[in-house]
Amino acid sequence: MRIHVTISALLVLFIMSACDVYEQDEYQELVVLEAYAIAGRPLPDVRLSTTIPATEEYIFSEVALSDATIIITQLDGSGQSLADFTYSQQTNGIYRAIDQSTLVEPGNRYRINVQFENRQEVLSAETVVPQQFQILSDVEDSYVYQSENQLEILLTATESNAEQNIYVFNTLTQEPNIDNLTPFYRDAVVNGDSDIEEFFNNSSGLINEGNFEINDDQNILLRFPWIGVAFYGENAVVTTSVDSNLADLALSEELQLGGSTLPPGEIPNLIYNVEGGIGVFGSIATDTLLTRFVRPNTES
Amino acid sequence: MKRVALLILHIAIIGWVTSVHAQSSSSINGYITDSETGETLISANIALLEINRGTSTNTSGYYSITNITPGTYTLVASYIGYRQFEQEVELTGDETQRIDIEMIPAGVELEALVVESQAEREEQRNIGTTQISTELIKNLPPVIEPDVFRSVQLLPGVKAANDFSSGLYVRGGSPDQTLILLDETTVYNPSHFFGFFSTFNPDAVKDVRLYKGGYPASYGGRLGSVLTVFNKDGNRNETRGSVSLGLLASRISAEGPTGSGSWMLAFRRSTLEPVLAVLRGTTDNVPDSFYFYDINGKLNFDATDNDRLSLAFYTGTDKVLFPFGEDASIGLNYGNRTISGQWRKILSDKLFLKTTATGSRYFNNPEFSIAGTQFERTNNVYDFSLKSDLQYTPNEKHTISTGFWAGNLILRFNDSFDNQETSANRIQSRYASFYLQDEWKPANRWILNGGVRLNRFSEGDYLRLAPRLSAEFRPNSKIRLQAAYGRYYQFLTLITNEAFSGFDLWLTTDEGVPPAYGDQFVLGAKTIPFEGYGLDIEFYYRTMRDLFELDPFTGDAAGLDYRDLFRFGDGFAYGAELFFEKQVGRLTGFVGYTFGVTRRKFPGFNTDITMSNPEARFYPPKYDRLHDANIVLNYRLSQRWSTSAVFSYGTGQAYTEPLGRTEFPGVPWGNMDRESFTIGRLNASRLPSYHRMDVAFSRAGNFFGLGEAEWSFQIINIYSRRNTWFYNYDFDENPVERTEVTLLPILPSLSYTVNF
Repeated sequence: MRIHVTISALLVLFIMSACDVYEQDEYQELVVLEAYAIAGRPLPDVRLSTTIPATEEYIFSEVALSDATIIITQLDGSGQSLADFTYSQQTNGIYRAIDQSTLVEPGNRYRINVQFENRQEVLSAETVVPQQFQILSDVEDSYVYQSENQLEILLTATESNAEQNIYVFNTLTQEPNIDNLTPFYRDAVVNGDSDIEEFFNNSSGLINEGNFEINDDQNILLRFPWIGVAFYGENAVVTTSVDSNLADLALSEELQLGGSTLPPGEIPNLIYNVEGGIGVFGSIATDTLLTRFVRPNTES
Repeated sequence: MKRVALLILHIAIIGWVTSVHAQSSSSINGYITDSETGETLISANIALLEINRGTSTNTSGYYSITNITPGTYTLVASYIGYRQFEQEVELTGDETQRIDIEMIPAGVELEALVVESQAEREEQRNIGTTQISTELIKNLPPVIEPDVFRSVQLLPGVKAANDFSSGLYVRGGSPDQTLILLDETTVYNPSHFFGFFSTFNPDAVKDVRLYKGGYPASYGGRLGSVLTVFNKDGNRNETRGSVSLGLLASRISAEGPTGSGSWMLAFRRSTLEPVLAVLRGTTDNVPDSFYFYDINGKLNFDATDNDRLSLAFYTGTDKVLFPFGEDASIGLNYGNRTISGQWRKILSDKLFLKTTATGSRYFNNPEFSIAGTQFERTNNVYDFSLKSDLQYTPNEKHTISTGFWAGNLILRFNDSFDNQETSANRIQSRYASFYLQDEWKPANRWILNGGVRLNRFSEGDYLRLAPRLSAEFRPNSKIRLQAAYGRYYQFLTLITNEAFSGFDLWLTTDEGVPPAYGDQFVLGAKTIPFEGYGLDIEFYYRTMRDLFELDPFTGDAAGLDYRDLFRFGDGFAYGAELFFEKQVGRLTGFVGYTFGVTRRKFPGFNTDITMSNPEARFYPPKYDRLHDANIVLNYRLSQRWSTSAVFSYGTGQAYTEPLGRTEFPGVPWGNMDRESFTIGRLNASRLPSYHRMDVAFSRAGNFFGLGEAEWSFQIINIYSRRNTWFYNYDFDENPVERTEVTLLPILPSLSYTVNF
């Protein structure tokens, strides 16, 4: 009996001494930076705000930050400054480059720096703009939906600043009408709980260059999947090459919503690549083609 | 002078060795079996009473007691659920007697079993080891179907992730840290019905043994634990069978003797088709096809008195075809195939050899078709191996075991998107392990077990040495104090999802992806406080190093180097387990309690985003529960009626409470604003406590005189506690709405079994 009393006492002592303290921490307000540089276009607008507690209603105007000093610097290969671009506040939380004539150069590195008069945070981030590419393929006027003749996109090969280029494909409908929805998306709107607006700009998600065929001339061939077509009629098909900052943000945001190998209820932070705060300073290069998707057994 | 001293010493040594061999010594060996069925009994105890020398049968049901001084002895054998065996044995000089023992089942007894022998009740309860009986598996109130893994989940140290999963989380480890063996063959995805049940048919199973930690050198390849399942050999005396009808699945099994051996066949299939057909008429999104089945079989042949051959196989498949929405469907076809051929040979009274050739295949082929776009994967694991184990018992103090396990492992998975192959991977690895261990009894009260296991894995060219050590001291017949240490390596990792095991994918080490390893320290005491009762306690501490798993932030794997698919981290776990059981009388059962802590850390994960260059922090995985308790009771009301109940309680699992939120409306693709949470410490909050009570009632009877029958009625979650699985956040609402996703409600079930 004595051994059982001893063992029980040891068990209680062990539990009491071994109780691990891993406490829930408190909400902390963070500054949020959002800016996307697009190759060949003017310098991006910058959006500054703060986070709010998770249980509160999010209204941008109430969390927008004013009186910030923003400078975007174009850097050379060795990280030295080539040019500085200053910003002015447009509305609460929205800032625009004063120089709207200078265009974002593909393949270049840019650094953003944000400081406040009335806050101590200093934010900085860098992005390397993807190389500009072109869509080389001859696009037909129309394609019959889910036919053997599938839209093919041939892209010029470009050097990647990371291991490989990362692309996103979008279809932007030019005829947004519920009667024009393709069957799968129509079912989602009519019988499901999706809003039609969700599919006006229908995205493929991030796709690595490693998925594509590389031709002998090193150009990249992609067959555009039918799942990307939400509407019949005229569509703009936009091919976008994405920098690593934006890819990190988009991928981690999808992960946070669920799926992957994480168990339900395990929610990580997004990957931000911003010093002094959170958010994204990303960049893209794009090209666009126009075509029509017609219903099967319908004359084009 | 020195030479004379050496000569005298040499003569003395020769004389001593000669004198040892000159003394007459006898031995006895044989198999211990069930007298009714002929099934071998694993870890049955056998002893010579007068000299208190004993041992237990190995996994083949074989025992050997050597180096016995000639004389007359009382040979006693005992095993739970059987009457004690006693026989007088007379041994003359240098004699080896083959004594095969047939033990008589205790039968239904309403009075307490009388326990007399000192060796009685002394199962092979080595440190970290638990045996679970097939009777317990069948008697517990099942979640629709009796299940081996769900019964194992009730043991201390073993946790379940949720009501829908039969996965085993043992001492803080994930399911892939437990090696699952069926008749010595590795099973790579032992689940049916998306993880709801295991692949093990209770009608076919003979022995289930879980080595929770500190497992010996004869096993390896997993960081945490080993679960061995042995199927029945088949009734050697008469042909028997059973049929069982249930709401989800039905089973039929048969077994019987051959000329010089036995056979066994068990078939199980889901029987949901009528229910689905009815639902299809009234409900959308009902699967077009959904079924699972499995077949277990074994054939035994006694070539000679000393040579036994067996061939065992398993085949099982889950298939589902499920339309969702217009122009969209999902199909899944996954399962396992195993085969093993074994030769057991008694080489001499001191040597027992077991050689097994195994083959295992796991396949998993999901298909999605959405709006004319196909996503397909073919995923196959092929594992062919040869293993051999030699047990050498030179004398009463040593039992030496040695063996090897070598094989060829092929992992093949191909992905295609829109009819284009996007990735094709074939990983072939040769593996080999060699072990040597000695169980040494230097004195009556001491058992020391030391061993070493050498592992080689060709993918990455890794060679690893793993020592093992354990010690047991018995101050008296009712107390066993135990300690163990071991180093363990793992060369495989499993990509899975807690909610759904149908897409499981295994990956291996490679150059730049080293094996995970860890150390385990265990201390324990196994006691018999009163006759017919057991009280065990164990403390454990585990480290986990170089854990490699698929990086959840990888996304699209195309174009990435193999090493870049993974994240590498560390972990640890520690805890204490209490197990109190009552083994005799009308009321039997056990209470199991676990205090357990487990943590993980991966670079770039669970960092403090308010800091620059933040470091990763340890965090609890979702299945971490501080306190976990199960009460299992079986009560025999009468000859016909019996009842059982299970009450489970656990403190809340870990989850992440979002602290802040923001939006990213400017992402240059898609229509919707990108919403996101900001998080503090990962999984720093706890769900509400979990508790649930299940009850079952069984009535034994007769099926028109053709055989015994039993009705069984069960209610799962009798007070319909809506335990929380996780919280879901709906960003379509502003502010964000949190809803609770709950686990099983009250669930009645009925089954009818006939044994003929």
